[in-house]
Amino acid sequence: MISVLVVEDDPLHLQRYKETIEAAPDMVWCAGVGTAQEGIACLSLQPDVLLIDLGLPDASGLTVVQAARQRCPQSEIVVVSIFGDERSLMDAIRAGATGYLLKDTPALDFVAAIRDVRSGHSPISPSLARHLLNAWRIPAATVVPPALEGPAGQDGADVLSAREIEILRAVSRGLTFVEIGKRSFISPHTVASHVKNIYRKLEAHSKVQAVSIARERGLLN
Amino acid sequence: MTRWVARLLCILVLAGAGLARAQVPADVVEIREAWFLKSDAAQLPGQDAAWQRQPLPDSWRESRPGIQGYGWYRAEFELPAQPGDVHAIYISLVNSAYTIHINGVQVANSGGMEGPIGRNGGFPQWVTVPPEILRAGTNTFALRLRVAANLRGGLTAPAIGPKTAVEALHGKDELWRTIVPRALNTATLALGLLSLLLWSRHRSQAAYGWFGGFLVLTSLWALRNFHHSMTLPEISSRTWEVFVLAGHGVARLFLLMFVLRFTGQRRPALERALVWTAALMAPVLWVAGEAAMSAIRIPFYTATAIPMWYSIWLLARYSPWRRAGGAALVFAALIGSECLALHDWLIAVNRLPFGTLQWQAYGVALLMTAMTVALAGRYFSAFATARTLNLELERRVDQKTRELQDQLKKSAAYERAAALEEERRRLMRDMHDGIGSQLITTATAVERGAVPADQVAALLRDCIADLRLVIDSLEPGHGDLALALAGMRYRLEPRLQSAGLASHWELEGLGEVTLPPADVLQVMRIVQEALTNVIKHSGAKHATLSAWSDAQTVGIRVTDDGAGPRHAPREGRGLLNMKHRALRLQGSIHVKFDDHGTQVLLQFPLPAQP
Repeated sequence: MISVLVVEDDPLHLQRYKETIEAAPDMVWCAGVGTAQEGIACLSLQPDVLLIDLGLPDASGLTVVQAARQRCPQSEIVVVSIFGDERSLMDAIRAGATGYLLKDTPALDFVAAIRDVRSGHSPISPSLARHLLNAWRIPAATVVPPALEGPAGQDGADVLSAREIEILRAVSRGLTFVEIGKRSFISPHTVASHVKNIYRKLEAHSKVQAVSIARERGLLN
Repeated sequence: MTRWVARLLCILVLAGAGLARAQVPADVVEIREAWFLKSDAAQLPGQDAAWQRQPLPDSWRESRPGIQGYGWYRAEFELPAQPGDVHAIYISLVNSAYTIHINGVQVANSGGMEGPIGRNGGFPQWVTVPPEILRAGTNTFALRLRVAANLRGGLTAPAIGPKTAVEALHGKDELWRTIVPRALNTATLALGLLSLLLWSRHRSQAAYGWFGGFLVLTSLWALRNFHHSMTLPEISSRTWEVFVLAGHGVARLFLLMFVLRFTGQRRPALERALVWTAALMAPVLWVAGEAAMSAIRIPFYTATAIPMWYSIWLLARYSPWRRAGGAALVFAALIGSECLALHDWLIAVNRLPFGTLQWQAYGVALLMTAMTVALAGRYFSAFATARTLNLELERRVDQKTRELQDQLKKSAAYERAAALEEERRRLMRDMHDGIGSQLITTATAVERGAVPADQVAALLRDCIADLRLVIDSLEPGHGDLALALAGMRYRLEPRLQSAGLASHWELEGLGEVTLPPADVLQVMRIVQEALTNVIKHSGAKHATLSAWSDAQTVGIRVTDDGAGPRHAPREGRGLLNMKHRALRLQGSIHVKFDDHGTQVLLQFPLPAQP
């Protein structure tokens, strides 16, 4: 069973989430709170999945994301936004989020998204893929090759592998996970788990960047 | 520095003025009185001839005015014993050709005793006498002199004695009469050429030019003094006279020009007159001839004092003592120089003894030094001014640069503000065209109450979809058409799938097309409308979107295999909207439907890249 904790200040939406999750046979409603402070307090419940609205009344949802990343390392963190505001999403991923949802996602898709994230699959939009490429200063303009070559393994905690780069390029060109998987002879689920790895790498990358920036400014050593 | 130069000049003047005749040693006999006989005889006439007592120095102009030709001087001198070493005779000045005889033996011949007379007796003369000619007791000294009509003939007191003693006397005299003036002349010439060079580089500084001209001409005039120190080449006496007189006169005129410019005066008429006088002086003197030149020599020298004293007056009025740049020094030097010239003038008019040392060469030195200091002062002050100006210029350039940077910043800020304003206006328009009108439509429909809830929800979802497009268009990098279409697919894919549609997107042919965000928004609205129509009305199983571009145009085609919009109630208005939007892109919409499906083709030209 997947236990779900929801941090959402809009009671109507909170109610809808609760109904949907309780209706799902494989999910358990853990708790639903309306502020960041309460959300952080509820982290001791160790939920499997956290749904966090970014616009909370007392603080940014990002603070909850950061706290959850530290205190519930096993939890999957999904942020909820009204529109696909990619810059906020990038910040959330840097803080440790591995999935995101739009507020108007239909109930069925919403449950499917939680299951996906729980099984290690992360969603990604073309615009977000472009932002990710930019974060590593990788040009997006390379034509997508007919098949993705190279090992799927990781090249380092914060360095993208060739396959990951090609996945990002393909996504930013509008290809679906199914199409990408067909091209490189892998399943759509594998593509989705690559995306999650990319998010993890972005988190590590931003930490490395923070350290090197601090070193440049003489804050360390 | 000026003070030190002034002191140096004073010392120079005192040295020149204090140049007393050297003390004659005891073993040297100086003949201060002789017998004179005007005679053309080539041999020394006998004692019985009409010899007359003649003190030395003797100037013919004074003692026998108007007389020229040959004459004899005779004197006896005593020696205590037969000398064993070589003796010598030294004469400070003897004009012009001569021979010397000791005890009847000729010991010197200057040349020019016959034929054309040379100017060969002007410098200190020194003649050795073999000891065997001399004897104990009374010896006879005789000198035959030839005097030309136009030259000042005469003889200073000869000195006879042991060679070493006489050599010292002669050496000292030669130093002051010949060597120092010659060195000064050379320096003057060099300085004059330097001044001319400066003037040729800086034409506006005419003072340099007149100074240079003055110095060069003074040097040339001073060449006249070279007949004190060298035997001149064969130049006709007439040419020589013209050179001496005109050189002196022109130099004085140029000096006046220099003073005019130096004191900053502009007198074009006077300057023209001076230039013409200077230019005509030599030709006029040449035409006048030798005799006339001899006659006007003294009045001419006297007249040249006029520009000199006028220069002094101009400088005095200039109040040099109150000015920087060595003006006082020039003033003092000018007065000093004129005093020295006056001294020489007194020699020329026989008011001072024949053979007195001429001082004018030293006057030139005075002037030269003072003017050099003055001009150097001006040069350095000009240099300082230039430096100050340079600094000022640098300061101004800095200031201008700062102003320019400020201006650039301001204009950049203005451009940013303008871009912001433009973007704001676009957003307003987009809201007005899209979501605004749609919300009003929806509100009206709800108010009429006849619309079922699901239809209202559908209308509101259209609003949200359009709002998303508008928000997307605010994303940086949204100008990338391929990325925008990819985003639309990502968003619509769940709806397409839930409607049972398999979609195919062919974006590879699009390449790298970048459009203004407003244009991308229009394209997205058209595509969204077309795809929404497919979902809502066609009942199709497959939908394909393909996009391509070439250098001039972009094409996007949406096709489906459905029944087409004939059964769709709102199709007409949707198509009209699409056509309006296509027009804003300067493009066109073609809709084609038949039993096999519908095709919507959008084509528009690529806007010129900024």
